[in-house]
Amino acid sequence: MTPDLARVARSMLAVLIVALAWVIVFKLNQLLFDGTRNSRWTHWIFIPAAVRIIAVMLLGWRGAAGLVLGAWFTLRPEDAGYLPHAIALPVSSGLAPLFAMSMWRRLTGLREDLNGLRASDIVGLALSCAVMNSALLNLVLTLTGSVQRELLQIVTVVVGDAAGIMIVLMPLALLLSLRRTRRTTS
Amino acid sequence: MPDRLLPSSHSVLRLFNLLDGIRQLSPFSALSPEEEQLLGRLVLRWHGQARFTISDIMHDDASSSPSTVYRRVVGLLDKGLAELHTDPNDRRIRYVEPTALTREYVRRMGEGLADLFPEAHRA
Repeated sequence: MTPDLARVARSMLAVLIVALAWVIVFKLNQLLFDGTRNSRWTHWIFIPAAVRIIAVMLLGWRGAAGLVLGAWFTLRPEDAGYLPHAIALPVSSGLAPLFAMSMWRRLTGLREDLNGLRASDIVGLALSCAVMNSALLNLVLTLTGSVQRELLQIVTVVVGDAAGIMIVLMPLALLLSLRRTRRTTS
Repeated sequence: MPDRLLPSSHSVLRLFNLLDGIRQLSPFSALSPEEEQLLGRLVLRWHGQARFTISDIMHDDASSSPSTVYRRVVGLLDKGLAELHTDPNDRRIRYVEPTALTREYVRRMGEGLADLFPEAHRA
């Protein structure tokens, strides 16, 4: 396999892995937090938002492409059958964290390899992704005439995404810090 | 480093840096052994020497790369165990200074040692 072909294969694999992660976590959210649904598109807790931020931070545009593919697989039938939604909803799901990441890096000077990443960057990125996703999603829904109760919809997405990210990252943070403590005291 | 390793190592670097950032979210994110060691050296410097900058620390520490030392200093800054004070005569220079938390940390260490070695403390 030539180096270029190997690079393409690695990129495709990364896209597929992210898409699969999205689908799994989306199904998990339906199982655990479907009671927090506010509308067809929004939940007060949405843990797949953590997949968005992690995918883009680790893989950049490949992560975003994986998110678009994953979101396409998890489209509701009503949206999958309506072409503007079938295209725009998955694309906005992938672009939102990419834009948020780009904006945050310009604002803070965060390096591409995430060297020097701090807890405050993760919190800032989580909020930026949530706000950007809310903005893009509601823009799509507004342009397609699908949105009702705009302010509640906007707030739900921001809160849902931010809560979802923290629900995933905080236990991971505890696990990592306790694991390190145990290693240093043994 | 061979060029072909760069893309892979780039993703690995991102992963390690991301995990390190996530770990800092934890309220139980204690000082790492390296940060604790660095703090000890800083305490000695604050006690005995003139004011110093992050660059001074990075250049004087031969055991780790300058970027690694810088990251540890930033870790101490983030945890409130050091702070930067700008030189009023040259605003480009920022000195690393202890905080109230550092003093509290040193005080507790001293109390802990006094409890462990009361004879030495009395002497």
